[in-house]
Amino acid sequence: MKRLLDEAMARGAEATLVTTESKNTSVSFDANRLKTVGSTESLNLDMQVIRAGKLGVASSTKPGTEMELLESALDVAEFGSEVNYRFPEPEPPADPEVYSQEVADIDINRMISIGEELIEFIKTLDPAIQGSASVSKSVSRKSIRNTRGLDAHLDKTVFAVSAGFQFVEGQNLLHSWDWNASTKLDHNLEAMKATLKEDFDIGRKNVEVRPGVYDVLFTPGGFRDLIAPILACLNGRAVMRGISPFKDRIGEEIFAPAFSLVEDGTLDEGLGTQLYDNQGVVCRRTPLIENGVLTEYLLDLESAHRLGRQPTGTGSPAGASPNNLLVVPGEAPWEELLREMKQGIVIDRTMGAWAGNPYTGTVTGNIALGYLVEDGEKVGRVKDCMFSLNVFTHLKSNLLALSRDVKDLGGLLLPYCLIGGVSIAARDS
Amino acid sequence: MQIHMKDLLTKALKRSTEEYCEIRIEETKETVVSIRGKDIELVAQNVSAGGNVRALYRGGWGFISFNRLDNLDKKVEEACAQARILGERLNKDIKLYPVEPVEDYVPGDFGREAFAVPLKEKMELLEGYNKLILSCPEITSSSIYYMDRYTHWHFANSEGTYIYQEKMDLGGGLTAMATKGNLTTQDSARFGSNSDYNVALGLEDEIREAAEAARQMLYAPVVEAGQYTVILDPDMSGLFVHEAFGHLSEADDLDEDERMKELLKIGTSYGSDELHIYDSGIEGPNRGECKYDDEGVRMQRTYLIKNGAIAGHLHSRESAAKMGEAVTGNARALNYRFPPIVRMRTTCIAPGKHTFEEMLEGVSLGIYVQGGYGGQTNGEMFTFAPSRAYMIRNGSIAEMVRDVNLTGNVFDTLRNIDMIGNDFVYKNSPGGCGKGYQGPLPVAQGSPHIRIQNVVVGGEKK
Repeated sequence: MKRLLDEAMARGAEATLVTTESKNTSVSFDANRLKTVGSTESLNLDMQVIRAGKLGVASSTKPGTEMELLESALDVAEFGSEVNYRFPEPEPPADPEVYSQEVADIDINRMISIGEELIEFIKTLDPAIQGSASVSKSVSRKSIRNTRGLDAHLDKTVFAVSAGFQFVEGQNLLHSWDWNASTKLDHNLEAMKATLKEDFDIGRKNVEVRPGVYDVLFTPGGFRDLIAPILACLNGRAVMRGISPFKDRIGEEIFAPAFSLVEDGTLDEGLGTQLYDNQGVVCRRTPLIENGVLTEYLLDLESAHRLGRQPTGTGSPAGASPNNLLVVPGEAPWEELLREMKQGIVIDRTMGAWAGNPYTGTVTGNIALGYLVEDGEKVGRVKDCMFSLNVFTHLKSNLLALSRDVKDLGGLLLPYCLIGGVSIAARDS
Repeated sequence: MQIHMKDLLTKALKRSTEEYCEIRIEETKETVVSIRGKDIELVAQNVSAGGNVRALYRGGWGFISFNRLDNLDKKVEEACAQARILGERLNKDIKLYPVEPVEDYVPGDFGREAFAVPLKEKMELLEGYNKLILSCPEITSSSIYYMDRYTHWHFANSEGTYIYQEKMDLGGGLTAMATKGNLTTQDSARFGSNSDYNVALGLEDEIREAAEAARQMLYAPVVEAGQYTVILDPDMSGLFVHEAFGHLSEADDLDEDERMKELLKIGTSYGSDELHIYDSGIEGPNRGECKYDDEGVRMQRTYLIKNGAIAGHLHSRESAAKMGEAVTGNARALNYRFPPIVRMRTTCIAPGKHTFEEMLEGVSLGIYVQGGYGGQTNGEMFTFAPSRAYMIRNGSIAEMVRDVNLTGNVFDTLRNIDMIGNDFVYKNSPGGCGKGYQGPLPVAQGSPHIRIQNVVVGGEKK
């Protein structure tokens, strides 16, 4: 690699090479039975060069083609973006715990037996149920080197378990699934079973929901859709181009004081944790919203330079994206938030809520799995209806509570979120 | 190259000890350009090369994928060993639908090859579009995305098939953004093809139209939530048929679920006599169409609904055998890192007899939606969001509204299609389908205008 970087410098360029090698092994179950054992070995070489103030990017999955990759990156740099930064000098990184020898060593038979346990449980719910599950492990090494002396790598493991079912009764289709992922051999099968059983028990009873305005308890899975427009607006590139409504609002209270959002690329056991971002900037912990006040954007090298701020270790050649994003949890367990609802709706899974314009803050989607709540109890499933709210106004004025329980949805750690005044559209009865 | 690869794959497959084994090798060269506002954001050239081996034994599949193409013999042995671990536990007599072995070389039947167009020329085109967008009234920013891919694809199986196929894929979106205060709106012109770079040319009128729509959207009210009669333009109808019925026809979700099979039994009626839906890999220069699917099966046109009743399903070799129906050429994989699953290609509603004016007549309050922005389904329900929407008042197109997202129940909504237009348009866009975490897989749609009664529209309730 040193020869490659020396060659780049000899050609008048700065260069960064990110190499990711991984081995993934998975077992999957479908229609109540074991179906596939799979393994994937992959290699990705990602090269960035800056020559004459222009950025060239090239990638390859072909081993031993680093020199060709450099040529390709130099070729496209002629047409690439004009950049105002240099690749950074190395800064000492954090030392996060993201590798587990137990995960690396787990054998295929143990993985199969975890999946079998879940499938056997699902089958007990009803003879006509169709269960599916998957158990996977991944062992990866990400290395990053640049022409300014950066040379580092991080080994990481991920162990993931998922299980779900499809249940058909007449023209009613009920789907439920749950997912657990960790850098450790850490999975709570009993909690997954409890989620699936509750969805099966309550989800088969359809109840009518009248169009109107409701308190809604978003589970972490449902809450994810509300975070997406906030992320789009926090992106330094959107701020830099003036299309984000958060432009020029650092220091302003834009959400309720209970709402705080943190990017943390250094998190122990974080699924998105890394030492350096893909531009070579050291990862760190950055509060983005503190007690409702906008404190920082997600910044790559270019947007940081243009906005006169420091990069946040979240960059890539195409812009910024979070490593691990955390909504700071509240005080109460989620069950208490549910119990205190007089009448409302729980939204666990949505459909199509991503298909809006994120810069307006409006989120509208189908309630793919949701329940009507009366006097603190889920009384049945609501279907064929849409929810709609504006994240910017509802998380400022209508945020009622956040739970203390948090679920990691793959580098996105979210609590349950109770919001008032959510519009529900449904079929006329 | 092809002869060498055929020998290599054939030799490796001799190591197979199981009922069935296949090898797929791919190399894709890709160009990606992204321009945002006044800045070129990204210009990249990428190479993705690798392969996989899939083996079946007594109902269990072993699958391995890799970047290093050496030691193919050993990879075949590994996949077979994985299949054996499963097969010995399962001991199921699962067959694949029989397909005659074939040897075929399929060079690309391309118009203007995107990969032969110099990068300089592509950049001049895209930068010209960007300047045009930014010159439109009240447009404050832009987003341009372009990609082209060229793939060499080799497939061989233990039944004696060897196929070499060249594929091209091209897509792009040219988005205009307007900002006023804290509100940013956007609209796009989009293009795509499996064979001709020239579809990216001459889009100035579409760009001006998108920019004007983004500008008007700044002043449009948010739609009021409710239940409406909705007219879908061909682009939106195409998205609707993909989400609302196409996914439900994918037999890998039906083949072992007796209740789902009953629900989608051939002959069951879900719509009017005028409704015909088909999925096809042989219609024309649409994204995702080619001669063979990723199991080496010839693509074809498959009717899913004829005269309102279920007429067929989309199959892999495994699902076809399980359901006792013929293969359809719908086993597709995103790339070599994935096994094939049942996917759509170009999904269409056949044209009907109604004019657009007839559709508007009698609609006292409705919505006309244009441009498929995105959609999703979970089998029984679906959503679809348009790029633009206008209220229909007393039979005429009225004011623009924004933030429209629609939902429906598959089984009700097909019955609620009360008019099918006599026009028909194919739509190719830069995105794709995301089933099974294998996305975006290139797909296309074709449809006329359609009118649907009683569609639930999300939004504010006033």
